[in-house]
Amino acid sequence: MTIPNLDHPIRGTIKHIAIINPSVRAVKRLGSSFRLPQMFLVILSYSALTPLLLGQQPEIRYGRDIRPILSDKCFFCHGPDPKTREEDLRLDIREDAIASKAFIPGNPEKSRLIKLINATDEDDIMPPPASHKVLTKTEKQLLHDWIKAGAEYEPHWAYTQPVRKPGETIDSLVANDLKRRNLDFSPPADPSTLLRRMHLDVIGLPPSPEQVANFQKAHAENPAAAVRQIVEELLASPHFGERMALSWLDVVRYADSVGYHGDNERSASPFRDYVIESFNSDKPFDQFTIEQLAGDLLPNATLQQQIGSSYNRLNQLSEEGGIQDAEYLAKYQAERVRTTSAAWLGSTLACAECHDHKFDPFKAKDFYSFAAYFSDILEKGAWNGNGKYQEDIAKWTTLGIPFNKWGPVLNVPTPEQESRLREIDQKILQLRAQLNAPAETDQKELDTWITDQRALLDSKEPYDAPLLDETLPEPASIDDTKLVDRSVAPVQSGSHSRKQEAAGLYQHIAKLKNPAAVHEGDQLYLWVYLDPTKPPRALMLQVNVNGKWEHRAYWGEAVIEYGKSAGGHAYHHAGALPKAGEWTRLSVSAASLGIAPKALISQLACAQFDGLVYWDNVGIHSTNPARRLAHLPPEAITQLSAAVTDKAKLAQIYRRTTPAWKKLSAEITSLENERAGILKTTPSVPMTISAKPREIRLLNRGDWQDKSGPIVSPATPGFLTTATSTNDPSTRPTRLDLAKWIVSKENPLTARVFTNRIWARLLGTGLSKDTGDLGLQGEYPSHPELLDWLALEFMENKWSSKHLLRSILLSRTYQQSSTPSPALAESDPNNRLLARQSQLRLPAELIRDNALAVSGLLHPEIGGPSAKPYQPSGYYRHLNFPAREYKADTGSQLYRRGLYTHWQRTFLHPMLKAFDAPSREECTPDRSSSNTPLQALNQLNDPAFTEAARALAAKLLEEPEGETNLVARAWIRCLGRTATAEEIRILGEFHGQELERFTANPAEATTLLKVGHSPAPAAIPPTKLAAATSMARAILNLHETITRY
Amino acid sequence: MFEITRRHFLSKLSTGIGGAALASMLPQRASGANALAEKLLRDHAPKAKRVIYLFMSGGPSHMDLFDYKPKLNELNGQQLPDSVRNGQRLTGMSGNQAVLPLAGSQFKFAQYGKSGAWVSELLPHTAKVVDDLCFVKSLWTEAINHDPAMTFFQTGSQIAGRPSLGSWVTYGLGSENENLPGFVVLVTKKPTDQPLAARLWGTGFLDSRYQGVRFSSGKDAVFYLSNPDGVCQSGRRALLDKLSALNKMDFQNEIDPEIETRIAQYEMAYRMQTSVPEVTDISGEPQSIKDLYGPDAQNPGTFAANCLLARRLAEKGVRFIQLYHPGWDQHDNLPSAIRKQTQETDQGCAALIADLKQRGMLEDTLVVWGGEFGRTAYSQGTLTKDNYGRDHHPRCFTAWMAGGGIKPGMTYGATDDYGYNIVGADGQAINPSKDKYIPGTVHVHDFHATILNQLGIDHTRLSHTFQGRRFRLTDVHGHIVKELLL
Repeated sequence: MTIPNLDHPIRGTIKHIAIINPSVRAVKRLGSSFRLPQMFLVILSYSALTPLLLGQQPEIRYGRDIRPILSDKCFFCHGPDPKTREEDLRLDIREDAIASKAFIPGNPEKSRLIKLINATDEDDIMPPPASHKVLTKTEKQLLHDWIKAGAEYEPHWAYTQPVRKPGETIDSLVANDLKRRNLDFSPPADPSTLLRRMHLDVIGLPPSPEQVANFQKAHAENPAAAVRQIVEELLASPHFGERMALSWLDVVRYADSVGYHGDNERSASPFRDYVIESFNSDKPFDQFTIEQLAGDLLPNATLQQQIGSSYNRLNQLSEEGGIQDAEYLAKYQAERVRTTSAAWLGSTLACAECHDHKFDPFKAKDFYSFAAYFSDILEKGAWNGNGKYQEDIAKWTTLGIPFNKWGPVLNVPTPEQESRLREIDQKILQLRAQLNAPAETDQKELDTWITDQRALLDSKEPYDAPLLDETLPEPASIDDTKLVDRSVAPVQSGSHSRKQEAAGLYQHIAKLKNPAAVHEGDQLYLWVYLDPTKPPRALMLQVNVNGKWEHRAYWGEAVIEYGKSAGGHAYHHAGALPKAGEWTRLSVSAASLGIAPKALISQLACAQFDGLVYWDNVGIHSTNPARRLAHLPPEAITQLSAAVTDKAKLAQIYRRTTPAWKKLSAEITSLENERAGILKTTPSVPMTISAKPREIRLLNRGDWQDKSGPIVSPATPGFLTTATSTNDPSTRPTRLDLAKWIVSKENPLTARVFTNRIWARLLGTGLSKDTGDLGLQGEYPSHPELLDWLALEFMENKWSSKHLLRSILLSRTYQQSSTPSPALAESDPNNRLLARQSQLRLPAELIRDNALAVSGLLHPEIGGPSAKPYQPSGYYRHLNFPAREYKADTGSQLYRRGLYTHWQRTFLHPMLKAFDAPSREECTPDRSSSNTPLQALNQLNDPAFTEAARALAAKLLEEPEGETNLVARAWIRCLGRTATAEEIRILGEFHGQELERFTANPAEATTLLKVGHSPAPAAIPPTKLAAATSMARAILNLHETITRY
Repeated sequence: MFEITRRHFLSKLSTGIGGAALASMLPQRASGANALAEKLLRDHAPKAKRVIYLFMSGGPSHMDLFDYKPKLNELNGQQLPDSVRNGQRLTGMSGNQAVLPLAGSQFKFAQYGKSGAWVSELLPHTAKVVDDLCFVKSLWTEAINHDPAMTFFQTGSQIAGRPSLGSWVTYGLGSENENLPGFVVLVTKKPTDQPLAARLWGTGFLDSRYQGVRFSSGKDAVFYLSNPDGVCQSGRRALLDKLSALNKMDFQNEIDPEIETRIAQYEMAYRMQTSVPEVTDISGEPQSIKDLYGPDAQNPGTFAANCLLARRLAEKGVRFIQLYHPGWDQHDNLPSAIRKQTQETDQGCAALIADLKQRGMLEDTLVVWGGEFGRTAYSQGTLTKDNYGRDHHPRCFTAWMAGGGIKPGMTYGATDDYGYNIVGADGQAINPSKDKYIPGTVHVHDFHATILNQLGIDHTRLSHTFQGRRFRLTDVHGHIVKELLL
């Protein structure tokens, strides 16, 4: 019988694993040369102790105890890669190892392997000294004992189907393990600790003092029933979804900005709300998975399913100038493979981008086949104008789907917005119908008009011909439109003017649809209206001729830098600023700007320095007859000058000049503007559209410029599936197939990955520690049977997250005290044996949520656009394209839960960042938990926390008890437990000192109370409130406050 | 106290003593792994104790500053020969330009110092210290656009999420100061050009105590440094004392080592409230020093002021001081723009070198100057008599290093007559490869390996396991450029 290969189930099909670093050192050993690439000398690692070292193990297991040793110390020269294999010996396949006489099962004394690892001669010892790899005594003993026991191999645990035995429970599995180590569970946590723990773990908000009292009472009567009831209440809370979303959003790298380069904002908040709602409704995780990867491909996809599928487009995007489309398409596709494989498969498929995976059986081909599933997503690589959508883009632009600068957008309006949008759309339809309805033209009027136009054309009188005005048939395109209409602003001509307000220099640039030729004697004119309260210091008109900005006129002070150093035509002073508060026509001759006749004007730029200015109607004052008819489409001139007039055509042109037509047209414009305005504030998600898949090639060493690799079709990793793949459009596998495979029985990973993460969140560490990697380099689980049990329990109960949490929360394992005995603190500091609960610092968002909740400031609304709490000014100083200033929200948005905080990828809110929230540039399954002085500074000095302390103080003082038992009441509110006498004494003393200090310096009290936007209640004397605020600040800064025990 | 607690406590101390080096301080019983850490990191004596990195963001033009190319002036206006370009990719900005006219530098070059280093007239101050500098003219990178190139240069990867150079160093060596962060970031206060993302000084998957702490020239040099209005320093002290007492009681009950760390971090935060304003206040510097750094240094937030501040931080034992000076991205109007840039930076750079040297600190302080890539030999946009622009050029560019065991007064590597390709000793163009080290070329990974080496760190051994892989700053590449070392 063949024993399956343990590390590489696809044994025999591995061709080779590339050596990354070819620099080698030859080491002499018994006359043969021995190669040791340097990369494998990296041995400094901070990984936790393996469970093995924590206590007595009953039996040796290959996967847990032996394979890690062999893999780390031996496989490089005696493993799967023939390129680096020495002496034709491989230890990764049992029968090969036996055939090569590496060991004799059952007989360690006669085994060569044992002899060599124990050799004393430097030339004999294995691993050779030059490798810097050393086997410890324990490791040597293990290898010895393993061979003695028969040297059995086993497949990698995570790639086999999970199994469990009837009758097993979480507690029985943990207890069995503890018993083997002569350990036992810790006592149950005391009720108040347990209640706070459950609250923070399940909904992320602390219990109120009333809830504590009620629970204590119920617990005294019937502990189990009391816990069960709380668990059910919490699982039913709408805040459950928020707590669950927190971790999931890290994994699917949800953020409010695009990440690369300018890191511009881009709306995605409905996706976040979709995640919350999915957990709240206990959507089966398999369905949740399918919706995110392929919701758009589901038959009759609902809006929610489409929102879910925007997962595919939450990756970072770039519009940096000069980037190439293909390079960034390659980056996006690689990112999706990294994220999807880490998020659902707990796999580092990312490592196979440049070569076959070094440890897991993923091949480079698997990486690109996986990427091919996503090649249908309608997108560009470069969003800077160089990028191209898939070739069938025309199919999608005609469907009325809105596109913004980052591609197709799925608008998710609020109900009010939705109804107004519907009204507007109907109205526009009606007006368009009126506009297009065939209408009789009064022939007499038409003839008069024709005569008038011809007269205009023939006239030699100079004329104001607009170049820049919305009344033109083909208005110029402005880079920064800020059009305002007559209802809100002064307008010189037509329906709109452009409002421009500046601190310092500001300009807008207009590109003419048709370059305008300059004639002898022409002048340039512009209409401006200077706001009398905020006049500018200077105005400037810049004219681009033949692609160059070398002609400028300015009015007012010489404060605008453009052209200043060049002087002359590039900086012509055309006069003083006009009077403010009225429309003024400024003009300057083209000659004085050095613009020669016949020169072509292609762009205009209107600049100002400081102030508020309305700009309207910039043009040429010209004798050129053609310019006189600039208000008509170009073909009007042809028609009017033609010997034989096409009257029908002229009638069409004429119609567009009638007041009735203009009125209708203006109404439509205004409705369209309103529509655009609504859509600008409508939450939306980047939309996933399935277009014609792009060709995906296996990129040699990940090089996107190398087009020599074979074309691949979508496929799941070869060693995990039996399915075949094709690029034939009718049978080509889709994202939906991928999603279904990910949650299929065939794939042993998904349920393990998710349940392992939930376990890590509720008990402190994953059963397999690295929740992003269950592969061969991941950790053998501390309790493999328990992880299998969880995975099966999850799948067999409709992939219900609530069921999974309930199962864990109701276990004795979860409900233990987290305080270690001294012995346990010493032997198992990281709590891998589960003889207690873990002491966990709260995640960043919850630290703030907790302060807001206990102080009563929290605005507990679920979902909606992201919120902008206070943030130090200047934090975004180094963002650009465009430069921007953070504007904190006002009102209740300031007090939203942390998970709603605006997530700027390159500059995450400093409070979140200080407490280890990830930037979400990439998928982040694990957050670290650091402990730094910046955290202390944040908690002590961030106005959000000072304000919360003051609100908490005010709340307590406003209660009927007033100052009575102030410290004790504050304590139970913040920590969910009764304070000890000593704690009350210390804080009481501090409260007293602060009262004295503020009584002596009442001004300081008033200043302190001004921190934050919410007003301090006037009824409480400031010194009293300030002293109580100080006391509350102390409690909020306690380690215990930000820890869940 | 339990041993594990103490170990945990020490390992959690953020900026006082931290990182792998702290392992050597642990008692014998925990020595297995720590002796190993000690051995791995310190396999040779460090030459540099700290780094000051002057990052010139945007990509300075090597052939207008250091890489003298008289031939370019001769060939001014001629098309870049295909044989020189050799099919190399261009950005989307000049890639579709009909002509690629070679543009000679408008600036005069001369040789300076005993070393005879070529420096353009734009850098009169730097010219005076060339004998302390080591020029690397054959640096090259893989990325051709700012975001990926800066991320690559500062983190060793174009993919976000890797620790920055400064984080790796602090992670490996910790800080020498218990009152200041070990890794400080200073950005010149001027209109931002190319964006600087926090990932450039981020910790990636390392824990956030290795984060670069940005000092700004505003009211609070560090975010949240000042007490809330209405809280004076004595009030803060009283609060901390009570907090400490309460936290200690918590520790008695919970035996959670994080509590002790928390207490220590609050104390460090308190000390920072004094130490940061102290170190950033340059008013006590003697007039001679103020003169050395020039008038700009009186204006907080300028590059010169940041150079002076960098020296003060270095004196205090800050391990890694990262400066950024934006604005080198001169696609057009290069002659006037680069003049402004060099006016802003030249004196500060030279003063820093001279100042460190006169204090004997240059010996163990490694100073690095450079950007994320160089610029093209041809003009982007129209080439006129007195104006040209240059596009991004990753194939070769110049950086300099000084102090910290780097050979002074030397130039390493060479480029062709066009400043377009690295050439070997025979003058033949080299096609550099990150997979195969070719002497004479310096890849970003090689540059990083060399910097770490000077700090006594073996770049192949400073690693962190994350998602099943041991990550290194230099990935699986990097080669110490031994020719640069004293």
